[in-house]
Amino acid sequence: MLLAGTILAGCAEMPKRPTHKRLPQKRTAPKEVIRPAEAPAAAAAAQAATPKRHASMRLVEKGNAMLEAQEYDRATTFFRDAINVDGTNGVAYYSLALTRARQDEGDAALGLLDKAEALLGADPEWMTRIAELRAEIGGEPSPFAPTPIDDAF
Amino acid sequence: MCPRKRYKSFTSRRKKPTSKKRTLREKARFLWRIVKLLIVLIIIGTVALLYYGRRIDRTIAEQFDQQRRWDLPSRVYSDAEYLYPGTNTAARRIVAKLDRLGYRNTGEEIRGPGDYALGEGRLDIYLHDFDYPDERFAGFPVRLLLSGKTIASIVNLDDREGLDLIRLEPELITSIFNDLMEDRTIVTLAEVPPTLVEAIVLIEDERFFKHGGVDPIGILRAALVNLRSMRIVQGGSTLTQQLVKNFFLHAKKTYARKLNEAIMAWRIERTHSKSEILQAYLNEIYLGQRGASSVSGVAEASRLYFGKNVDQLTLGECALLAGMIRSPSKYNPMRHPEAARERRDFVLQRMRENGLVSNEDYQRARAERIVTPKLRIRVGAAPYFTDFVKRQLAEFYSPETLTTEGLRIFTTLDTTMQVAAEAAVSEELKLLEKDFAHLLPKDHADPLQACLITIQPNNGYVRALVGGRDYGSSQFDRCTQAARQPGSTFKPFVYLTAFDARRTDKLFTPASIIDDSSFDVESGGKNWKPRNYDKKDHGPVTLRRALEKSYNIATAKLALEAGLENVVATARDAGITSELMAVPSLSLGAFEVSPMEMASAYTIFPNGGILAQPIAIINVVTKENDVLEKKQIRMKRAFDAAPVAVTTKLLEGVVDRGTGAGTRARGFTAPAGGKTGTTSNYRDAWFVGFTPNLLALAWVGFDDNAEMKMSGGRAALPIWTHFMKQAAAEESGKFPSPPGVILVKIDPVTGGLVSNSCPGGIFEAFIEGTEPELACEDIDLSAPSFTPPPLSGEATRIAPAAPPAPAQKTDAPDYF
Repeated sequence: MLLAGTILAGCAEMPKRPTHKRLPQKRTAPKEVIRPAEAPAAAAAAQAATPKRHASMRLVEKGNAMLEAQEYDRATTFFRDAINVDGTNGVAYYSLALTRARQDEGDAALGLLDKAEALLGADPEWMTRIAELRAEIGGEPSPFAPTPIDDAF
Repeated sequence: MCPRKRYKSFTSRRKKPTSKKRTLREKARFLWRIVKLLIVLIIIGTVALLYYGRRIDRTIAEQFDQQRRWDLPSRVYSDAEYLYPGTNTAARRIVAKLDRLGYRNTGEEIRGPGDYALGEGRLDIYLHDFDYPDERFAGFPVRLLLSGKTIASIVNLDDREGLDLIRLEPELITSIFNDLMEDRTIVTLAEVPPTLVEAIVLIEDERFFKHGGVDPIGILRAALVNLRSMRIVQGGSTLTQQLVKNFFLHAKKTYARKLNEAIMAWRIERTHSKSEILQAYLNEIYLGQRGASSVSGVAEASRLYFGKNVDQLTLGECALLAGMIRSPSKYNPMRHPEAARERRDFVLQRMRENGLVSNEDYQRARAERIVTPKLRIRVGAAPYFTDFVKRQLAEFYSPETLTTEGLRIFTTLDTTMQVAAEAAVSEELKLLEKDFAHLLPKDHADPLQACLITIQPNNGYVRALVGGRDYGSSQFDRCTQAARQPGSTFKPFVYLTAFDARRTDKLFTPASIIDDSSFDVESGGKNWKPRNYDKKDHGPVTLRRALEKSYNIATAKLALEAGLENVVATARDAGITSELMAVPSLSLGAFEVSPMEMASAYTIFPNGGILAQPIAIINVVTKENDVLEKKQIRMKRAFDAAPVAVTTKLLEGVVDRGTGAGTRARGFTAPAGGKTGTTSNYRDAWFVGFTPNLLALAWVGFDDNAEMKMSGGRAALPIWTHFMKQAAAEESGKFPSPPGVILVKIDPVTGGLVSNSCPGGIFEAFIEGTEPELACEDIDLSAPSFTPPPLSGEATRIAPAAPPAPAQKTDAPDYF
């Protein structure tokens, strides 16, 4: 078992290490670390409360009504404007991707989903919806998809 | 006497004609000739008249009876603007925007569409109607309650309900005309208020409904009036004649034209109803100038002079518009308000005398203050941007279609940013020429040029574009048509490659040490030796410092270690399509790109590795509002978010401490990253910088590549900063911090972890797992790790690690 483990470990692709010039036999020093990505949950909540986001979400709501009525062009306009008002509103990107998908424009939808994923990555519920839509379109899971924070740490 | 005479003449004819008889015969013969001539003339005249009549009829049929009677210019619009609580009205220069949109400042209160009033703590706007591509918007009055200059809340003044946001309609940037240069908005007779029609008929052709195109009574009366006044005070032309003159003929006063006018008016009256003629007249009539283009028709004139739709005109405005037909220039309310008022009152008086308005309405209309939108001297805003748009449109639409079909083109332009961009280019270039005249070539034939582009990274919208300092003297767009060496603005793509494990041959971090010591390399059979801007070697430095200070030697080494092919691939993935070769000078920006290409490529940094395709056109719609073209936001993830975030952190350092620190010194405080660039012999000066929501690129140089002895930090950065201080000063967002990126406190000199021997330190960004493990004292800087890797390909070969070589002349340009 030990031998097999050693062989398999040798076969595994080793991550590239950065080029720090080290003196031999130095001890590892303690680190002072900040994880900014942990902030998004709180930051996202704060951002969601801004008037800008509120205005953007109003447009998303109007767009959703149009999407439901299969008025895709009008829905697109609302979602596009929602992005215009607040470029960090991931829901607007997701909704625009959904509209594109409904119009059989899978490629365009996938690009927008990439952006939605980047903005909504901290929210497992949204990540699920994004993954579902991606699967529906037939896209591969994004190799760059951010891992939800809960899983990452 | 008479019979005898007759007898005599008879006998004289039979026998020997007397001279009298001869005269009679000649007379008769002469008369007969006259009659014959007359007959011929009548026949010729009839034929000519028939021919002429047919020709006139054909002209009328060909031109007047067409469904499309007028060539309508296409119109290019900016993007709409949303206002919502939190919007800073001063930063967004909302009042200036309202002025540009043709709203009228009515002082204290708003009365109707197109009015605005700025009061204590409030801005009231009566929104215009607007036909959006997929929606007809009906304007309504709103109140923006202000806290300082910021919108605190928005209220619909009709129902007193609060609103989350409102939209200001797109601005007309320019019209694409044919040679006639006529600006016109077509309306039907039903859309024109009856008051205006009555006023026009009364003042221009009182007997319009009684004559058949030409009005002899009117002519006689006009002649009498003119005779009595001993000057021309009244014209005898009917509305139909005026229509004919404007529509078919020329303005030159000749008898032939008058005759043609009368005949054509008569013919038109025989084949068209009075309503048709009146509607055509209302759309045709000349009502002034907007720059080089003429304003034709009451609808367009209503927009120009009163900032509203024709169906929204008041009685006083109707009277003035009707009165202006006589002399649009003399009675222009923007330029001659007093003359306009007198003319309006005269028309109102005539209307009252003729029972068209009640005395009460008359008094009220006379009391109306004539309020016009601000006079806009400048027409054809954003000329380089509109050219950029036209070049794209030309791929799908012929020039004839663009100049006659009345298309509406909605673009991504933000006019507030465009105004700021134009001011930044103009003012900063003047300052440069004044303050650094000694650095510029003497007596250079052409002026120093510049380009400024702004892109919104999160959707790719091109928000502003200034392709040169003066469109009037040079239409060459340096933003989209020029190809220039990018110099050090290319370097971030080298660092991004080196930080990305999926892209680089050897992984680096911002704390990695690289030796900024001279080396040379053989490339394409030539010896290439990069040099630093200050002509010094800086020894072992962190990558952060190398980029912040824009060290060439360190960057060239980094590119060689990361792999030149990999760097090319990174640039390609960022959207650079210009020719790039995997040679060492690539890393220092030796290959020409267009500023637009470079600006677009940089959007991956604020956008967290997602590449948004730049777009300038959103929609193209017909005059009937059918959508012909709809451009979509297109984006894709081109890079892993983590290495992009790490590179972005470095670019923030460039602005905060490095070669871009001039932005901070000039008072720009928003979160920002960026990079300076200067090319060989100071031919190009660049600065590309971005906040989380806005990216701008500034370039300065001469069209003929003349040297200017100014770096990107000196020449281009001031333009960028001037612009961004207006466009993005309010920004407070953050750059994306994706999972997997951590901040670790390190010693900025050694790149090692902080410890007692190197207290203080900075928080540096790392992809988790790549952060340093050793304390600063354990990092050995004496033996830098650079070993030039072998290059693939035959063109380039690394020279052996060189001992400090004697200075040698090389072809390698200096980049910094």
